[in-house]
Amino acid sequence: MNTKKDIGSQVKAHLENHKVSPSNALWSNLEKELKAKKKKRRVFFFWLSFGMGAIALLIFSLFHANLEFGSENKSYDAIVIDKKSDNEKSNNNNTTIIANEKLDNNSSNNTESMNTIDNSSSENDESKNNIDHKSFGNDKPLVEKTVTNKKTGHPNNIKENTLYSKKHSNSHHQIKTNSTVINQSKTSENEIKQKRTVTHQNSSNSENNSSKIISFSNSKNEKEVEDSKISTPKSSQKTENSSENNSKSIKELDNDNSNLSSSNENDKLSKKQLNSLTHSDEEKENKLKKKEEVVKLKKEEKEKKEEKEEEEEEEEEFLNRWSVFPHASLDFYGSFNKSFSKNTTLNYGIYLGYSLHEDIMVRIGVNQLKFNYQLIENNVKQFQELNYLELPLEIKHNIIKKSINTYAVYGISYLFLDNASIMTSENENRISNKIDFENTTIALNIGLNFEKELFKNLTFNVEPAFKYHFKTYKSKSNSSNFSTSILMGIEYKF
Amino acid sequence: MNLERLIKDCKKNNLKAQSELYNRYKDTLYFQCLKYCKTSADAEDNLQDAFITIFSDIKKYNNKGSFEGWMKRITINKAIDKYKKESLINIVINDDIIKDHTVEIEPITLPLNELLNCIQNLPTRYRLVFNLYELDNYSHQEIANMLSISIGTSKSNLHRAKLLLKDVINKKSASVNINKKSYEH
Repeated sequence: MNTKKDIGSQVKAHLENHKVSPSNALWSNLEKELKAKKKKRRVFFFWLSFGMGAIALLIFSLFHANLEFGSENKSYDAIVIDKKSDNEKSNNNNTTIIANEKLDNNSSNNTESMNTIDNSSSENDESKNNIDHKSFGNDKPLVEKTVTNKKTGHPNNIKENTLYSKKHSNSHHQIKTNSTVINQSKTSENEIKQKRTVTHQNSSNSENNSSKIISFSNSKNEKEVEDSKISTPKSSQKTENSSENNSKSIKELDNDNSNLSSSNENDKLSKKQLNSLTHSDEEKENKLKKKEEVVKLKKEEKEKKEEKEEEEEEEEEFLNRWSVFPHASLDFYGSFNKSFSKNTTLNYGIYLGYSLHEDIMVRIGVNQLKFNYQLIENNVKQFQELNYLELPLEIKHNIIKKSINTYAVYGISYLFLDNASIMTSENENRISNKIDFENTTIALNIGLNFEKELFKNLTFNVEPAFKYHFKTYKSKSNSSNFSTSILMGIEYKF
Repeated sequence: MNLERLIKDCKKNNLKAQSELYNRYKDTLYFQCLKYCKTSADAEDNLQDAFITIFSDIKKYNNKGSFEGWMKRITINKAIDKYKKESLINIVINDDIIKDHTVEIEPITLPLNELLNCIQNLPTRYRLVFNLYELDNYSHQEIANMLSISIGTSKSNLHRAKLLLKDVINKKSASVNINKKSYEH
């Protein structure tokens, strides 16, 4: 009878349904790697969110800088146009050009003078005085110009003056700050030199070196250096004394040790007698200690388990990375310069969020922003209506994890002007005044978000927020409008 | 915890679930590794790499087909990748197409350890082809794709692997029998 079979099928039959356990150390290695991967992921998301924040800030700052630059140019253009309407067109045009040129020259002079300040502190006052003289010198054409404009009754040159004075005030401020910086740097230099002097005093040629250095320093610092000179020999004396004391104490310790060794021999005999009596007590104590240790270990294990469970719960929540947040908001439009009234509106919009990390979410949105407000200017009531389309880019950062989660919200919004109209009374026909407003503006958003879980993936959100609007008006560069809003809605996470 | 729930939790990177999954399948997969690797140390390394891939790719598993089969495939692929990287496939290419690659042998009486040892001592590609074809039911076409060889090479490798294995098993069984007899005497 042929019992031979194919080797493949035989080996398969032999090895089927067999299991062999790997070493126990394998899981601990695997666990370490898994934890390291998690950490790497967290670090990556942290840097990603940080990078995005930095880019958003950069875009915002660039946008803001461009707006400011544009506004300055526009104000100058406006002045030139006004002057063309006057009778003395040619003369006034010349004066404005001269004024602009002088402004530029003055600014360049200021920078030169700032450079010269670095050379010596004694020259600071002189350069300051020079700048002051220059500024007075440049006032001359401006004075002439204001006179001519006073005749025509245009207040526009006042703007130029204010701009000019602003520039000068800035330059003065810069010079002052520079001079203080120089003084500070000088004092810091002197401090370093003081330290050097102290080190040099220890060497044989100390006197010569210190005298050289002191010659550069101010009178106050000289005193300080002299004080430090005096203080160093004292400290050396102290160290000598302390070393003497130490040697004494060592001798005393030696004596104590010899006494102790003799006393130990006597104790040995008494201990043997006591050991027999205290042996039972020690056993009881050991048992109690062991029991306490066991209880402690159990407690620690329980705590670890609870911590692990909490971590797991957090990880479960983090699985839903995406979220949609339709909302309605109550908005109050205001200004730091003017008083608005009747300025509350109801708006709506939607956010789409993505969780970079369990605590950090990036969200973009589309919001319809309608601002109404009543403004009283020169005893005339005006009703202004603004319709914006808002595109916010925000970061939502978890700060408190409780039954109601609290998030800090910060970011920027691009506001696209859809419509702007003005009325003298509430029911009157609207007149479009879109020309007065910038077509696109930017807003800085800061807020808090309170989130309460309704169901597994649904949360109710309330979000008070403050938005600072940059450059709302075309003509008024110093306008500072803001809006505060209370946003409410239900967020769905998926 | 049922398997579906366990997979769901592993997808959330839940360490407890990962630990449970590991404990549930470690023995089966380790045995798989032992068949494909030369030593037990290599097998442990392979198992660790396989589990890291399993946990990172578990989101891709869409509950279609056997989960154990999916894990076994990852484990086998890890073993193949390792030997591909180390360029240990050093068998001379032989494209002799063998129609019948049956190699008959007397019933195997070797203990499990000895039999595993015989497979582990096969040259790397022979071992891979033998395991893939005979123990894990891959076709020659699939093996050819996996190892980047021709179908003919796969077939000839299998035949040679069987011949070698037969030789080794016979020798081992003979030595075991001699040892037994000497022990009885």
